[in-house]
Amino acid sequence: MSIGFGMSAGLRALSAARLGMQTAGNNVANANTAGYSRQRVELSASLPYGIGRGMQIGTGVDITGISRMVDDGLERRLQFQLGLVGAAEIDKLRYDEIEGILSEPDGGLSESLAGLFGSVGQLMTDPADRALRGGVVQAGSALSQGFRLIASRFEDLEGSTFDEVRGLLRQVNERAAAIAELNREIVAIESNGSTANDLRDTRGQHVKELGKLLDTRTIERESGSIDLLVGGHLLVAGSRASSLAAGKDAAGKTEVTVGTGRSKALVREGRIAALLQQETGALPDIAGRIDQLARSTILEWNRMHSTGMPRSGPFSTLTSAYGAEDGDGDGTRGDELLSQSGFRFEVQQGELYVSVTQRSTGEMERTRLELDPRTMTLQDVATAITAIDHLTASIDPTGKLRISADDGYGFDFSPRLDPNPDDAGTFGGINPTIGSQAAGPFDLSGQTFPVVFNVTTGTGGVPTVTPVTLLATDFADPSRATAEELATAINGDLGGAGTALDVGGRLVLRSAQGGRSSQLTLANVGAGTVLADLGLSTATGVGRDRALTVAIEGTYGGTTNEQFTFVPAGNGQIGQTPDLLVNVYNQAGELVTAVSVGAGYEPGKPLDLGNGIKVSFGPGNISATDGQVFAMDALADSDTSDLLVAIGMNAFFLGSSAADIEVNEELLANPDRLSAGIGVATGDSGNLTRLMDLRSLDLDDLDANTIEDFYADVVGDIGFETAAANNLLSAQNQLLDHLQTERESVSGVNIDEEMVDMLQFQQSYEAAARFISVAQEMTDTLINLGR
Amino acid sequence: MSLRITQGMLYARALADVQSGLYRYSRLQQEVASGRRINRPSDDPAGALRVLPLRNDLRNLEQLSSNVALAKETLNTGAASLEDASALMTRVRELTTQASNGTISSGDRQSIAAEVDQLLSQLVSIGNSRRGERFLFGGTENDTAPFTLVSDAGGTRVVYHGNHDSLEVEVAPGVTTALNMPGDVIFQQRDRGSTTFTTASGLIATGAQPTGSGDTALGFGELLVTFAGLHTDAPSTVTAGAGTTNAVGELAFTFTAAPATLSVGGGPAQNLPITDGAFTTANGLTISLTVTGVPATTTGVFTAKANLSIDGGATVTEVTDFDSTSVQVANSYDGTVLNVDTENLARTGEEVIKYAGTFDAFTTLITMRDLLRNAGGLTTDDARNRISQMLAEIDGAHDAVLDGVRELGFRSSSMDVLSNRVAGLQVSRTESLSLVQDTDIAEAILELQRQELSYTAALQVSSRVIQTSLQGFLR
Repeated sequence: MSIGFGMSAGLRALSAARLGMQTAGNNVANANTAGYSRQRVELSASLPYGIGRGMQIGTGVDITGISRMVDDGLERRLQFQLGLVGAAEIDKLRYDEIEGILSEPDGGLSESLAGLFGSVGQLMTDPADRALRGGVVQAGSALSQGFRLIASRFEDLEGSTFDEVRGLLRQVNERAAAIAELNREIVAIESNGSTANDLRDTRGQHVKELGKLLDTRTIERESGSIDLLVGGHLLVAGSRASSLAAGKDAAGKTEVTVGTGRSKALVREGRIAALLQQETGALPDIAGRIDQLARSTILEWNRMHSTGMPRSGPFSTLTSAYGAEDGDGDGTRGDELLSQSGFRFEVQQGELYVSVTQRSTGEMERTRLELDPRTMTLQDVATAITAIDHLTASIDPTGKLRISADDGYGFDFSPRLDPNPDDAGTFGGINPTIGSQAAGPFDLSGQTFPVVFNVTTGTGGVPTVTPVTLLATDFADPSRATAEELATAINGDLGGAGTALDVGGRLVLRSAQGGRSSQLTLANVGAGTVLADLGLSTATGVGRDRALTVAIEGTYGGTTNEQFTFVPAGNGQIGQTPDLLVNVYNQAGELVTAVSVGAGYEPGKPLDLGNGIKVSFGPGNISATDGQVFAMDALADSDTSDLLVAIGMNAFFLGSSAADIEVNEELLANPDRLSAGIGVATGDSGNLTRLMDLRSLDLDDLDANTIEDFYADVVGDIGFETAAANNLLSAQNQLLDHLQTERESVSGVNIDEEMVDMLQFQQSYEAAARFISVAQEMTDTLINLGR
Repeated sequence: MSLRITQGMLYARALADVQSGLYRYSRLQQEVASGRRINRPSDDPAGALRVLPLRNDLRNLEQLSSNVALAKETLNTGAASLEDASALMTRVRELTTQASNGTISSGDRQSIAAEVDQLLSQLVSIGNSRRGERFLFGGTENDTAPFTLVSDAGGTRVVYHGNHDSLEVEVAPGVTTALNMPGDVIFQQRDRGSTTFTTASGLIATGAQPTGSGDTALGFGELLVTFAGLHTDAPSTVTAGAGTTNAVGELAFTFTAAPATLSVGGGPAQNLPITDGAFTTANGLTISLTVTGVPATTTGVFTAKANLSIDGGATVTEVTDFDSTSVQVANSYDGTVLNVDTENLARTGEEVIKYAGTFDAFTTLITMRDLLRNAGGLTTDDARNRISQMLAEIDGAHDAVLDGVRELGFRSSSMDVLSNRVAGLQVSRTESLSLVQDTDIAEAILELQRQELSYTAALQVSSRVIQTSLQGFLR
């Protein structure tokens, strides 16, 4: 038996106890360190040796290691959950911001929209009031401002994504560098076989923090270092760390790139992923819907406003707000096709009706322009408008269309009814007229060209006979000769004797002389039959001393554009002849109604035609034999081509998106220009009614919603998303709490436990020390034996 | 759950509890302080979706409420103006009764005429009443005065420049009312019945009859029938004479060769030749003819043309066909027409025309004034008769004005009902809105107190738990 055996055992015991104390002390010290895993001293009995006869005697305690109490699986789950929480936090923050930008239910767009319609409703009580008109313009301005503010703040938010991601990536790079450094140190330490507990803890904490920012995949190496992969790319490989950078992809959106080669890394979880997703998902989506709303509002509102009438009645001059762009780069604007002129709203194939009014008499003439954006240029439009009597149109150097009326005349695009539709006097007018009994086209295929017939006019003395010749080349298709073609051909020959007209598709010839003694007779030449083919009577038509006045009242309430043709059903005197009727045909040639104008009808009294139109006939005579007729446009939409909206002619709103919507400054400067009316009366509120109706109209551009409903949907969606984001965050936080509690339970330090351990090791130390002193005494006794 | 508890877990738990307590506390505080449950859409997304339309409804109702008040005021202003007009018409009637009194002197009549002239201008101003800057009785033409008094060769008349469009304003959900009334409907009423002719006093009927339809003139008028010469069917030897002729129409003639005589219309024969001879017919009518001899055809019918005029002779319509049931005569000054049945037209003269059911207050006053001034040179009796005949016109015109007063008054009183309806809707919407978006203060305060209690309890418990540790018990 060796003397020292006890000492070494005692020494070992002391070391063990001291190590235990130290570990306990380390645990206590690190009780609040984030990511710290409590350490335990692993003790085992040291190898015994034999003392003969099969007896083994122990040699004390061996310190086999200091272990970390950590559950790696739990750590990984925790890291993942941190990523989810990070993402949920960002989402909640973003949605909160979006909700803040929209600022509902107080002070947001819903209030501005209601304010705009409200101001229109108020103006309806006194349409000529200047202050109330100003109110509508101001309300439009407030709405525009609201849109622009929201658009700019959304843009800011989207733009801030890049900077935020860059900031977060800086943090990522710092941690990656730290992890790489720790890798190096851990490898160095553990190559000796020991475990670098604290360093591993620190490294684990870095990895967890990284997990908040983006999703990483950890691969543990034999050497003790870990590799981190982000989206398949190596971020940390051993003791080397790459760096991540923020860049912009082709669409201008933020992307994360790895290393010097700048290859794109796909980030799926964590704060950074949430930011990137918001940038391409929720933010553009909301901003897009607000844009959609703004654009639709501009389009629909302008459609109404551009075809309305300002307080002062028809315009003397108007210039469009937008100019055609010089698409072909030849320095001239307006020579590009309408579909390629860079207009923000599309010009459709359709019609534009332009009315010219003589201010002194109130007489109105309306011209229909057919527009096809694929074949016409803005210059063509200007030329067509100039061809209208008393109007001139031109394109200025900036590509804007300018229309002017001659002095004493005004123009407008309003769908109002012509109060005196019989301008040509072909319905009981002063001059004698003979018109075809039915509408064209006429079948002249049975005629041998050239065809001649005579037109005889005169007021009683020697009559004038004018021969009229029709050639086959006058018609595109002689079997379908239109009244327009016939009129052009006949006017070429008639000269001063009279005029040929196309009225509602019927051909009418009118003598140039009026009065009771004026006569008009048509006669075939020889055995000709052309008059029968054209439905023209050969009976003599006689003029009158006074014209029969036809007056139209009311506002057309139909939904499609129509043309009504009025033809007497018999001959007689208004208000006198029993059972005298006037037939009314629509554009398709169908008989709509027949109005009773004979005995029992008081001349001048309005008769209801339906759809809001009232017609009255003054005293006079009508004749079906003479083929009398007049036609009248009933317009629901006087600009089906949307040309006025596209070029910003008489526009209320300018711009085409939420970022650039504004009220036409001409209206801001002069509220009298607000087109509140449809008719010419200063107090006419026809357009205000249409604008109010817009409020309850389901718009195709807004997915069949009304303007306010569409916006309410957006607000509602944001509300739901925000509430959902809030709920998700709290749910994720709860999960995180749970996991963190689990980790605490496994790896956390319980002070009381460490206290007990410390007491235990202290007593053990005391006991070991006691043992050593006893062993020493025993050794002393042994040594002192030989004295 | 875990088997091992650490201080860390206790601290974390304590913190979490305190945090959540504070969060609930602060939310309740916001709800009570702002009075609203829903301060942002995310507070209650489903509720927020109901709030927006309710608010819009309320704003709408506010607008409607102010519209109703405006409507009432405008209608009342209009009714008040018409009441002034009614008082004016009463005064006119008084004057008319006075003037038709036999004992009135011509000087008095002139002063009454002056007053009527003044009343006429007043009536025109009433027709041009305004509210603020807008004319009330011009339809939607609010900038130009609806009525203008025109004096020219055709006499005096009042022309209407307004239109018939109504200014419709929404006064309750889905209910609109017209704030205006076109002036011509009130002062130039055209609820037409049948036209009638009354022979002017002191004269014999001409035989002309109203056709019965197609007339457009208003109120009353005069039809003048005058001799227009001989038609082309007159015998070649006969021409119109310079003497008085009051026979018109188809007249039979009979010549005898020897002696040369002519008898017209079955009357006594006259010897020929004769210049400006007065031929009487069996009916007692006279025609002045110059006959040079006996023509080839000795018997037959010739036509004495008549000229019809309703604008005092300014324009005439010649009648050559006395079988027509409808000859249209036009007034060149205002374009109105009268249709005359000439079948029985036999003599010249004057017929007083009444366009039944129609009244023109202005024309009535103008005619009154002119009769009083007696510019037409009528006898005192004739003038007085005509003046008393005007009473019916004045009453008619007055009734038309009263109709206007009634109509506007009726609309105005409907406003009261509608105003109540709108107010009721406002209350109900406000209630609904409040239910959704407002905090129930009582409930919230109770909840606040409860939260405060649980928050305090959590704090106390946490402090106890945190503080207790083994260290406190060692040694």
